[in-house]
Amino acid sequence: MSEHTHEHHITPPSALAINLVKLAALMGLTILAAEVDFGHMIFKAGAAGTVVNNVVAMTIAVVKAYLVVQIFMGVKWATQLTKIWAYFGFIWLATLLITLGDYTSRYWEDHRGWYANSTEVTAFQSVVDQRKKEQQEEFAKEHEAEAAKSGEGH
Amino acid sequence: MSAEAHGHANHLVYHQYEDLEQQRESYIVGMWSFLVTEIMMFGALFLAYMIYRMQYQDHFYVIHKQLDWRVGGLNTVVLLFSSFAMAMAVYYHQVKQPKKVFNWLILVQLCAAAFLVIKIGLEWIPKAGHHLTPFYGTFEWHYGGGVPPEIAKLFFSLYFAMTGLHGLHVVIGMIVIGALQWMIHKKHPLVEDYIPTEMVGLYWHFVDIVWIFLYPLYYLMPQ
Repeated sequence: MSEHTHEHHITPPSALAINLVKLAALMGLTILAAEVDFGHMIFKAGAAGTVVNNVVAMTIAVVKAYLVVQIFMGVKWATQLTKIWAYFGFIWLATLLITLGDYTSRYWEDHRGWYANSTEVTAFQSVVDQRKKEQQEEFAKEHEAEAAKSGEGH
Repeated sequence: MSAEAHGHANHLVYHQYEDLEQQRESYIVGMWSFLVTEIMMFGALFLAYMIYRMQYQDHFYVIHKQLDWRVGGLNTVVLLFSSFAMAMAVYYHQVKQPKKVFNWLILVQLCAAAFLVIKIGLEWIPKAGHHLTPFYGTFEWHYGGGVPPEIAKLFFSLYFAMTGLHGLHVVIGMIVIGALQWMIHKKHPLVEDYIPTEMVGLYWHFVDIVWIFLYPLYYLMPQ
């Protein structure tokens, strides 16, 4: 980029209008795709449909975002340095979403307030009370043992 | 080499830059680095959304029916068109027709205002009337579907946090575009080059991109 001789690219209105039409068409496509149950179509089962539908919807969203970034924001004709910055943010976002792997692969520890209905809360509370009681008993035992030890010392 | 060959003769170039292209690139890269921080801020919210969506997909599906996909779709069209209008404003600034820049920016302002009117008037205020606002009045869920009210509250907390932050960006965008229009109207030397319009445009397109993801995630949830 030592040479700054090239003229700055000017995107003509026709290209911008075509991009708008593409974006509108993709928006229509994403609404239609939401109506289709891909799970039953492909896997003959409902559960996988959620995943497939999400993948389809997000793929369309990424394509739309790509069109906005490339054409409206002009990254397609931008300098290398601009391109690095423009795509860095989105790459960072993809890296952040890897965090989800942690949530899907690990055990969720119980926490008060996570349960939606009162019976579950009560059930959870009884477990907490039980643990508390056990801890107190353990503590008392240790205390007794220590007291016995110091008694021997005398 | 003469001073002209370096581009110093151009009155638009500030003394720390070698030429106009380098100056423009610096501005654009600066704007993009700001947008990266914006992606980080919204990214955290999208991550929070995904974690709870995975956890409560079945409940979220029932709750999301309280959002009207047609209203969200209308807002998508409005924002997509506003992005196009913004790109047109940048184009006319590049070909040096400030009058047209000003007019296209008015169109962007109208779209932004329409977006907010639709968002607040047709969505947020009725939601408050139905007791679906976790931060205002008492939150109630009386639409059945076996949805625990706490999960509905969680859903609407995420919904208002994300669309609220997005709405705030639209308002900030309107203020910034207004300032830009004022400077263009006054023929301010800072807006002689097209770069300020381009930078405001980048911000506006970013706001559009956020909505492109919010729309399918909230309004078009699969079962």
